[in-house]
Amino acid sequence: MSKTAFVLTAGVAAWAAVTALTLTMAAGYAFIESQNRFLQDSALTMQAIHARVYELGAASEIAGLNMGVGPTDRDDFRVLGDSIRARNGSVESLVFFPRVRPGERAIFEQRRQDEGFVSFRIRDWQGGTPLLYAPARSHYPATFIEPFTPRSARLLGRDAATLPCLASGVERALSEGKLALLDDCRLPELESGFWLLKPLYAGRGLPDGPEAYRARAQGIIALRFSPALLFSDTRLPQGLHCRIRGPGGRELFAQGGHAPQAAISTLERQVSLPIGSDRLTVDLERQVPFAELLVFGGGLSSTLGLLSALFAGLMASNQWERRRAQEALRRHRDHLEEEVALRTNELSEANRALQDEVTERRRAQLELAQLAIRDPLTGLYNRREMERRLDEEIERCRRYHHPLSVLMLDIDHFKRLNDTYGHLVGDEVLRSVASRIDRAVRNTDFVARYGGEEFLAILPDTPLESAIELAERIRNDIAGAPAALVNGQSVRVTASVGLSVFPPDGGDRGSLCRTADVALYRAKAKGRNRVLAYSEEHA
Amino acid sequence: MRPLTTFRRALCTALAMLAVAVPAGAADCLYVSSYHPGYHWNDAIEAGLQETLAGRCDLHRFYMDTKRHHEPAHAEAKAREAFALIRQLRPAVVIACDDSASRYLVAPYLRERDQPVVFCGVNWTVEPYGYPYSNATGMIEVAPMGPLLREARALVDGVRAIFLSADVPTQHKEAERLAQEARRQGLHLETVLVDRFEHWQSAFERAQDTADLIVLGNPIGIEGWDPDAAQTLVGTHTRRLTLSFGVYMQRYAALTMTNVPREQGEWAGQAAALILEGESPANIPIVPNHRWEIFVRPDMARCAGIELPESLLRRAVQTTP
Repeated sequence: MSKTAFVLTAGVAAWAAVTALTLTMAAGYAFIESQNRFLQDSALTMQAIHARVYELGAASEIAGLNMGVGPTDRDDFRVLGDSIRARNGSVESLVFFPRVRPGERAIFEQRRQDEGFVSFRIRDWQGGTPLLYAPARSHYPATFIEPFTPRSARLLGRDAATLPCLASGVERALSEGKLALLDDCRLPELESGFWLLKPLYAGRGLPDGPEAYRARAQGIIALRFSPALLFSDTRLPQGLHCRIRGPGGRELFAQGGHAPQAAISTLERQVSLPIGSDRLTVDLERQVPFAELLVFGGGLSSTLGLLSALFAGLMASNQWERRRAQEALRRHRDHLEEEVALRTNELSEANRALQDEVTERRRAQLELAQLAIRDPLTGLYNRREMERRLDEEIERCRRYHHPLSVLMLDIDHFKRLNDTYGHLVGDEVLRSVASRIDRAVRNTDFVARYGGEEFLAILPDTPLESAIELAERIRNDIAGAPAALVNGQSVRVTASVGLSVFPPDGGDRGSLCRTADVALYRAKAKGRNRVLAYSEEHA
Repeated sequence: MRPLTTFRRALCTALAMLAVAVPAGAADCLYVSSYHPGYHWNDAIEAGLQETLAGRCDLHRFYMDTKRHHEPAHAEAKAREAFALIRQLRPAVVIACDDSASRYLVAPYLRERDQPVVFCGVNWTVEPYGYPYSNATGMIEVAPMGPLLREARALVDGVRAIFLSADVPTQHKEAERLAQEARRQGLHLETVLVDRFEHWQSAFERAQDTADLIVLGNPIGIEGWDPDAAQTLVGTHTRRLTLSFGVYMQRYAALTMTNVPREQGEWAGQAAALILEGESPANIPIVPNHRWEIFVRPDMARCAGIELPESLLRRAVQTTP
């Protein structure tokens, strides 16, 4: 080999080595640059996604706060629904599933029917055996629905505990006290299947422990939302591909794509976004195209010296940029968490203040309502309330073909007692007798002061034999112990009792009270201090 | 050319034009109104119905006109005509609005038949007509007594209420329902039903001292009712919060809530559209209306010492005498 050839060979070899080195360095630089850009773009994208998810969560919290403040009816729920949907365009509908305990089912259905929902029934979703009654074997019927159209109204009465996907969400939300996200629960009555469930509890504050969660569970507010609308204004940086999946793996949203080109590498990032007890998974991806690297390589191979000198500095600079991007990402995440915590505190404070106010108003209302229906001296119900209750009980017993007894009790020689000892002692005796009757009856019975010294007890589902037994017990109790003390001396009284039974002795309030009164009159006539049931011979 | 042939040609041309105007295969819907066109309640329902069903079916109309002709014989004759039309037209859905259409047409002729029916505007309860039927669904019309009393309770502290209205059977029923709702909300309601305008005036004046809320019922049936004198009295004597749930009384009351007839038409139209898509009426529940319109007179509220809150004013229409 000649010298020239050797030099040329060496030169070519050197050029080839330098070019290869340059290309490698250029590719490294371009790759690092792409990584930095990807980190910054993905931080911005996550910020936008987080904000959307936060807004949805806030909408459900607001709905929960409103429902938790006090008794809500359809009208309130409509206003709430309109307001939530005006604030957040991705919320397609709002459904309230209150908890109905098995023993309250008939009353709940009747109340809805009284409100005008003809033939309202709590219905299973699958027509068969309920799949889950959670917690404590309760029903969760769809009760308020907004927007309320004939199509959505087909949901009315559907029991959320009987559709597997909803039931599991309800169970999870109520037993953990957190939002639950359902991404694959399509109801036959509605179209999309994305739901955010907000649990509601009775009483103030959050329950303490899993058992309390179950005991105080009051219902669920469900927001049906459209992920496409929720993330519609998320603007992705060029070349970034974003895919959001729900907890069940179903795709909620996907945007951005790749131009068909040769890629040297793909940058990927997966972020988990918590929402209540569930998580969204966000996959971010960008491809680094081969052509991009070639441009860098070709240009740089002619400026080897300059790049060699700058390369170390650039590498250091890139590292510094990368750390800064990571730091920005961390700061942003911390800031968002602080915001969420702050907002949650504000909502909790507002909730507490509202609940205090509501409790106070309820207490005042309850007192007023009690004053209207109670007898001030004895604390028993008054005659007007008794009449209302007796009408209701008669109707109920008529519907279910159950017997009902009416017990009318009168204190013997009460006028004489009043004249002898005065009204204060008379009042003491009335209170004492009232307390003994009230003590003797069951929780389901109803005792009222009927007149001056007359008392009346409504005994639902009680045949005559049991009513006589009870009446004798009360009579003995009254006669057996002093009713008042005057100057250390005990005052004893006796009482006479008349009984009548529905339906044989009367089919309505007037006739039942009349026949009980006739029986009472006969008991008095026969010498007092006795129990007598009405018979047609008395008529 | 003979005149008869000309007539036949004209008829053929008209039929051909009609065939072009109506999309081939479009279903027929029949709207049976209890009232007449021009009556505001009917017109609002019809507007809601027409808008919802536009492009979904050809809407035919039949008016029973029972507001101007009260006699049962008239309603029965109109129901027979409507039924004959149904047999001839065979509509995909019959939309029967207000009580007369349910009483005289749906209950006697269409109950449990193949013909799908959507009713609307039935007052308070469907019991008189025996709904639900497997071939019918619809919307009941309920006066907004609950929301009205609830709003009122938020404005005043007292619990004494008076219902002042005409001594006629319909108002007796209204009084019963109002009393029930008042009891539910912890109010003590006294009902004062009068038959003469002088009695209404004195009862209104007396109520200023004995009640915290005054609910003004419909005065139709009060002999000598003088709207202007009533207006003057209300303007000079009101010291309590006055309420009403009828369009007519909104000029006298500080707070009025009324039903929205258009809602009935829209619901009926949406239900009919669902039936046209193949849904069975039995699967669409019968429901009561749930939209109200709020009217306020802040000047009347001020007479009672009440400043209406912004949240209420935002939702309400302000009226002037």
